[in-house]
Amino acid sequence: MIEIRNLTRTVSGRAIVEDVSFAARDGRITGLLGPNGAGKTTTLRMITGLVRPNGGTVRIDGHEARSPDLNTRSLLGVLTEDPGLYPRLSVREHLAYSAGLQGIGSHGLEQAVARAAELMGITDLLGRRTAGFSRGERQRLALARVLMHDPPNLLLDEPTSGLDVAANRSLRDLIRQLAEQGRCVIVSSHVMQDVAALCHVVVIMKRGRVIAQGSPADLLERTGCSTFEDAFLAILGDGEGLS
Amino acid sequence: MKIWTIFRKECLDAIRDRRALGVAVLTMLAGPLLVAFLLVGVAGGDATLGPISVSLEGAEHAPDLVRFLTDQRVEPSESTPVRLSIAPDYAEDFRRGQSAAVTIDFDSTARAAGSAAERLRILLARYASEISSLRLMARGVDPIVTKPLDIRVYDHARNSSRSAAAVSMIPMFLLMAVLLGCMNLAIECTAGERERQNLESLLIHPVSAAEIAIGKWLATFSFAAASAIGMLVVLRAVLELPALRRLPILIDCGWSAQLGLALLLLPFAALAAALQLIVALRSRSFKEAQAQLSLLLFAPMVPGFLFAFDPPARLAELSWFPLVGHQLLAGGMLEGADVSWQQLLLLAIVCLVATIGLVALLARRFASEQILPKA
Repeated sequence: MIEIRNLTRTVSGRAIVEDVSFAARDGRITGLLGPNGAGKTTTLRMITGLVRPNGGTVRIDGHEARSPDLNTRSLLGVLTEDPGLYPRLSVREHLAYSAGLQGIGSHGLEQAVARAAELMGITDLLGRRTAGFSRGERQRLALARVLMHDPPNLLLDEPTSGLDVAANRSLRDLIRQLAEQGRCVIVSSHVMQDVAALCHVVVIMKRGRVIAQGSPADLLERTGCSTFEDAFLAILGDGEGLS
Repeated sequence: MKIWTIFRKECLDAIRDRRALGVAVLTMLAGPLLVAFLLVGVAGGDATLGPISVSLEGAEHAPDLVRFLTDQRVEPSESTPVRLSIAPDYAEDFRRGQSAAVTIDFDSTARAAGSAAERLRILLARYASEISSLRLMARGVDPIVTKPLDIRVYDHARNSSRSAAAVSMIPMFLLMAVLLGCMNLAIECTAGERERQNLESLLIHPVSAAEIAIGKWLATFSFAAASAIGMLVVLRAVLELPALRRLPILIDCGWSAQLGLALLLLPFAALAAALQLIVALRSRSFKEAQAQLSLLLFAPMVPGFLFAFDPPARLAELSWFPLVGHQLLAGGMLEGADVSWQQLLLLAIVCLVATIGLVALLARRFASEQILPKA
């Protein structure tokens, strides 16, 4: 469960994120939607504690997170927008590295690697180095890495961007599965269709502010549009989605 | 524990980077081999050491002179830039007590010809002086009257000046080996990570910035230290080569000198690793970092330039300063001078204090929001 209240971040007088509040509940997928530059990534970074808010609070499973707070960070699994891999390390070494950084000792390591790899369907890739991996394979490894310490909360920044249709769908299924296991999942995206197909709740951001939130069906109803894309554009205002 | 995780991963990644590792090993070999090559070349060309090759013309006119020269290790040879021609009327002039003509003909741009010609001239002058003494005695005059000065020259240098110049390059190569040995790793685990977007994936883990900084520094330091030790081993092996052992040059590369050099270089490796990490972390890309760090490679040459203008003795006040002190002490150790443990300790303390400061700064940089990719 992640609750953020009145979160604000200004950089040299300009508000990047302004007075953002929402709650993401366990077992649910919460979509953070907005055009590029809406403040999605900054919001996620404030939850992780990589960026210090100028105001507002972040509570993770009831604990207030103060940047930099390593204890609450253990409660999070974070997939960054462009999860870099090390081309000379194997899949197993990537997972072991993450496990070590999460404080998983050598006794629990093999089990954690096997579990995460199986969940992401990359068991047969374990021994391979990641140079030359397809985007789908990279994203599965990145997600497996996030799951090493079995975190109750997941922050996924643009997890489906750049994936082909098949990879996109299978990743969506995996994310759904993770939420069904009782995790709180926040997914950011600038593609309305992805979010609508995946999320239980959508929070729409524009220029650092939350301008609408509700279930996808709610948003359709509220705007009177028939497609999610139209609804998104209607909420953002004319032409904003293109910028 | 997490420091160890980071250290192990950085080392593993760097060891698998075969190309970068190959370059590091090559520089480890290149320095000592270059010095060896210079030493062999310098000593071979150093005409005070071996016989003088001279092509003789008209030797039949002056058998006595030729016998004298041969006794003084002048070797007749066809292919040499120094020629001695004895005039056809040499014997006639000599017999009549007149100046007999001999000509030294040489190309001063040819290697070692200048000093060979000079040695030949001195030998001829000695021969002439012996003959004039004999002629004076034959006329009842004490030859001492023609020698108002008794000039004695002692060169107490253990190495000839040119081989000393080659030997003085060794400290520079050792310091460069330290910098080059860890340069790739220093860039890879900072700017490289930023470029490949790995850094944010690392920072989202529950790891403190200090643990990240120390882990990465430890890996970089290990490579720098391994490079220094590796070069010392190569240096010792090269100096043991038969071609170099024959040379009358003195380089102390015994166990105590090696130990002293290692104790000198390890604190420098600590400092070099921290400094390179700081510089590289400022860059967003591998190439940018590489460009900035290659400037740092010139640093070991700076003391050499200073020594060229100011004799090392005057720079001794600066021996506490990294690089200058390292060069001075390493040079002294290689010449077999007694190691000043006090100076060694002082230099190590300066390096370690600077290293701690830089690693603390590195940790602050890792905690800063500015190193994140643009949102």
